[in-house]
Amino acid sequence: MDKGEIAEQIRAFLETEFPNPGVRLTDTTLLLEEWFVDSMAIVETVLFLEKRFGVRIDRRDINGERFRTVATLAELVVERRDG
Amino acid sequence: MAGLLGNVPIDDDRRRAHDRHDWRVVVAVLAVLGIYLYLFTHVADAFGWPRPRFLAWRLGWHPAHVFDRDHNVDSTVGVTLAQNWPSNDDERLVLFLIIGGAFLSAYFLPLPFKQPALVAWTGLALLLLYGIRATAGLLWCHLWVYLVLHPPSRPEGLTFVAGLLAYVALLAGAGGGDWAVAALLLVTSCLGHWLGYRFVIRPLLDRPRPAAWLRTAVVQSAILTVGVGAMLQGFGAGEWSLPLGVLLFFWQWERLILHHVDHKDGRIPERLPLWRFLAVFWNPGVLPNWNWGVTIGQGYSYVHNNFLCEDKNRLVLSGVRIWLVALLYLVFWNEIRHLLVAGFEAAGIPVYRAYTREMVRHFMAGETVTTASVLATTFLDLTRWTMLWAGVVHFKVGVWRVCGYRMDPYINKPWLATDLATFWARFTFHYREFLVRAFYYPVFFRCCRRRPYLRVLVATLAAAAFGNLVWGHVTERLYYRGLKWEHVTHVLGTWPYFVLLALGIAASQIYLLKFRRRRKPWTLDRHLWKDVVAAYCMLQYYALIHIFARPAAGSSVWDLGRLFLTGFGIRLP
Repeated sequence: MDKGEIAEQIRAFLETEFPNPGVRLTDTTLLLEEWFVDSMAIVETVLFLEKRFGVRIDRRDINGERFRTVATLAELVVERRDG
Repeated sequence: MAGLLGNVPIDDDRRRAHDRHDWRVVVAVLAVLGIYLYLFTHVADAFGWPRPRFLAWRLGWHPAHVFDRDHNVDSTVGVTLAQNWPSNDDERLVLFLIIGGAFLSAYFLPLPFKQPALVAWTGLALLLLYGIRATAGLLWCHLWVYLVLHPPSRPEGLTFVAGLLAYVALLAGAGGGDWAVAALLLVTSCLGHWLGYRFVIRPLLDRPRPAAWLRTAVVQSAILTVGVGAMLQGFGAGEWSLPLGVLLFFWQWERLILHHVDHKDGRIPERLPLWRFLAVFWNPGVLPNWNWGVTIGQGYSYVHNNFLCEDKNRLVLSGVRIWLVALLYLVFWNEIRHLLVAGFEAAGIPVYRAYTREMVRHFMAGETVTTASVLATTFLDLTRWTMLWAGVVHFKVGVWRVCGYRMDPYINKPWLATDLATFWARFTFHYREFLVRAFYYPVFFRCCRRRPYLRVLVATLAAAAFGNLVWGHVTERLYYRGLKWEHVTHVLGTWPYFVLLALGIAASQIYLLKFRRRRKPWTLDRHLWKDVVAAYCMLQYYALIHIFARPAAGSSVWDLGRLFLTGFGIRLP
């Protein structure tokens, strides 16, 4: 699975689980500013990434840089999967 | 929540772009600060103006529970633990003037001088309000944390300064006025600090494992000290009394822990100037009610990433707005409380002045307490506490904001929450973030990785029960009441509150994980009534579990449990 497909699946997850009417979720939408509403959403996203892509997310990954956009989350998955 | 995850780093070029002046904004800040000065100090006398009570009377308003005996507003915002001034009003006058000066410096000075100026204003306020010994003691503690967490390449000067500060804070006057003894103590202190750092601390910091232990010991010095002190007292030794400067430092232990988390996560630059370290802890926003809302500001990454991260005037105006909201709470909270109490009493429901502890006392004295009374008293107590708390923490957040920080509100409309997990985040945002980062995440990313619900439950118990109980409430009571073992056992005896809170939060999270929310709460549709019911039930549950946190003399967990169940209409003998 390439980075684009991973990003697509992450986007689909976020749009389904945290519907945000009026905002279009793209690869560059700022998740912390325009999408996530609480840290529970982050916990849910971590559970999703670990289950769907079989990667291990670390506490240090929970930061503003990693959770900035769909693209940075996809990068994190690729990094963990290939690393 | 703009500050979730501490946000992302911002460079100085973007900060400069946000740093544009607008005189109207300056006038707005000074005008609101002027209102605070008028309402909460004696400044009216200096201008020959009527004091606030007499102004209210002239306007035809005669509240019974707003003004105090000196005819200004009876305020909870103030300077705690200070003893250098004749009255709270004088302390508040100094506080508000310092905040005004700090705002003007942060607003008009060039970017490189803004944060150092805020540190300097805070230092001046500490000197004026708490005196030189307390200020030296606080700076001494911070300097040691800095020397251990961020060892400078040339530490000689700082170790000598630390020695000087230790002398001023702890040893000055020990010689009984003998200059020779004083000079000897001073030299010994400075040399002792230098030698201790050079030959003991520094070599330990060069080895990874001892360095990690040492950093943890410094960061956890507060709980280690009060824990050992309380235990020794329990074994029959005398009670320790903490110097004021050290106590002020200990009150910042949660932010220190978050600073350590940032340090471990590599989110702090390798070489950190001292003023940049101090900017996390020495800000005018920490001065009002020093021991309230101590997590506001969190750690290094939150504070620095949120400084001038958006247009300065927008930040400052958001501070003015939250100051105005704080003003409403500070002026009206007690009047509203009395109105609510009178309303329930008139309806034949005793609510014990809106104090749960008073209800427990009556219950223990054999009085029959009805279900309506339990529900109403605990709910009003929560309302009372929220208003009281919100006034102060909003004011503190406002100070940070007018000084240029995008600071999340500590309390953010908690009554809009429809589940306990969201409520906890809205009711106590910065403290919740502390518990999440210091306890929830470390457990969540280590335990039960294959079982998501158990993972959430265990992490929540670690944060909301264990971390909250030990690092939040035990330490707090020891700081307030002194290092006695009975205070530890008292707080440990309130364990059902923490367990019920954690279970409630965990249940909310698991429910939200299991049954995904398809509808945004408070959407104006035919399901709106469900939001109202959910919000009330959640608030009532949170209010009810406080019965376990407010024991009276002689009450056992079983007694409190009976009263708790009375709230659900269950009566046990």
